Amino acid sequence: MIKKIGRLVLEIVSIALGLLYIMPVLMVLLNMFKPLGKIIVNPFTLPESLFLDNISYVIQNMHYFTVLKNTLIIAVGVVLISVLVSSMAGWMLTRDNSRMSKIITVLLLSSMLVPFQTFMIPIAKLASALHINDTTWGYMWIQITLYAPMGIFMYEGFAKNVPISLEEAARLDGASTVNTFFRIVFPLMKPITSSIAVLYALWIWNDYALASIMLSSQSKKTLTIAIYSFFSIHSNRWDYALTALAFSIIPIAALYIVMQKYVVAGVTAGAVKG
Amino acid sequence: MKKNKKYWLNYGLFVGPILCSFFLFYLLPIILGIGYSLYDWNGISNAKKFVGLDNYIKLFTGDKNYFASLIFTFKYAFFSVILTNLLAMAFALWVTGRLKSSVWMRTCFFLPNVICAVVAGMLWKFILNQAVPQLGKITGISILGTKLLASPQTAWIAVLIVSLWQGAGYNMIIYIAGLLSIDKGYYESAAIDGAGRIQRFFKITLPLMMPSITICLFNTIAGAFRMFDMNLSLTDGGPGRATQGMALDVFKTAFSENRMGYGSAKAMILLIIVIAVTFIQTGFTKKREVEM
Repeated sequence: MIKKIGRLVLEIVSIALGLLYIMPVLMVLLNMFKPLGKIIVNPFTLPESLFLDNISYVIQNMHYFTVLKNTLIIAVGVVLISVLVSSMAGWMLTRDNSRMSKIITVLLLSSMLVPFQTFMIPIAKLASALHINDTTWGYMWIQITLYAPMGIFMYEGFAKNVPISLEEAARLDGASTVNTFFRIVFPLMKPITSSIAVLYALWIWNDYALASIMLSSQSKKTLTIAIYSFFSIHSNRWDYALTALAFSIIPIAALYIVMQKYVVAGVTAGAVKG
Repeated sequence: MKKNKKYWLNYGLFVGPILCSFFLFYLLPIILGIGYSLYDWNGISNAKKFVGLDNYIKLFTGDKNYFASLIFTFKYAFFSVILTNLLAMAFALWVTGRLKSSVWMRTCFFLPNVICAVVAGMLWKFILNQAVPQLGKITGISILGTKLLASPQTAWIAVLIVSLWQGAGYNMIIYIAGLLSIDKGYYESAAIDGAGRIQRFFKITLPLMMPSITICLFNTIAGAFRMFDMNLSLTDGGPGRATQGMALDVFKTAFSENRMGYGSAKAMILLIIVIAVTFIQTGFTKKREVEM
């Protein structure tokens, strides 16, 4: 009996600790429905009534639906293309045992160590020299390139455990390499594809650095840079500022909670051993 | 596979596109960056003046601000690497216990990691500047009234707290995977031999976790030197320049002060430091793994 009570107490402590840990997030969700005065006086209370003025103000003044659309277009595009190119490259680099493939792999992996800020100045210059500055597709192209090594690394790890016999059987039947890959290999790699896609989606949703140097015109802004400038302008208006943050947090937290299994699998598979 | 025309065609199709982009947007920029660092250049005009190693000499002899940002970065890296890993390990042990609430715990601990670092910085600005002092007023606990972000002496603690909050969950996932891969048989035989909980942790769990520890140290070290987004939105390097991490310093030198040459020199130093620290660390922990 005492053991049972002890366990119950531990469970309650656990739940409370978890709640405390996500308290900062919960506070955003609480306070977005409260007027400024109430937030200032006591940010810890539940909203008394459903106050929606903050939400409508932010939607209008941050051009929420435009930036959301931009971000979603970029996210979907980057995820699809990144998955395609990194699965193809990852599989080929694993199956092809040449020295060249090994060198390419190491080269790609090395980039996962290098902070983006160390080559961000030349990237900015290159983007304007190539006339891809302030274009959505240019931003996507660079993003895909910089995300690819992680995907390639994860696909390489997975492809090593995909039985080669199926591929050989297909080849004996006269299937081309392209056919073999898309008909046989790619479907087999589906578990890791889901994880990679979710991780890419999280990264692209959260990118600030590259977007801030490339996407300067108002109509092309992504959610993160829009929120950052909105927050700077409204630094004394916690009601609006917190609501703006909620617009970034809610969608990504929802994606995480629904896709948690894949996020966890992805983090584990992507753990780079130095 | 024989290396005929078909082989190269396939290879080019599968690896070519990403390899070309990779040269264009990764290797070329790094080489260009080395070049830029030898010039005095504002990035806009065409007036680029070759100054050789002057930028580097200036960095290490005459730039007090740069030195401050170096010290801040190393201090922050030291504490964040150690504390993130301790916290992540503690979370992982807690979550892999037999509690029914462990899924809930894992969800909560990892949640901050999916939030954009820029957003997390702004969110904590509210917590530290508004919510916590207000809590102090309501409860009458005066220590809660101190605003961490307002003073150059304490702002770095705020940066550390937010980075722990975001980073611990990620590394926890890796430690969980490590813990679950340990054969339960070891614990059973140790228990039969009369080893206590603490002894089992230090003699079995920890040694068998070395591979996970290597990975997490690598993650957290690289992450500490790369810290940028949250640094920008939480403190913007301030108050003054008290919390200007190296990555943020590069960004501001180049894009706020428009000193592209000087910023590039800072970027190169950052690159060298990251590579050096990682090599030392992996060499060190790898050796321990072999011994075990």
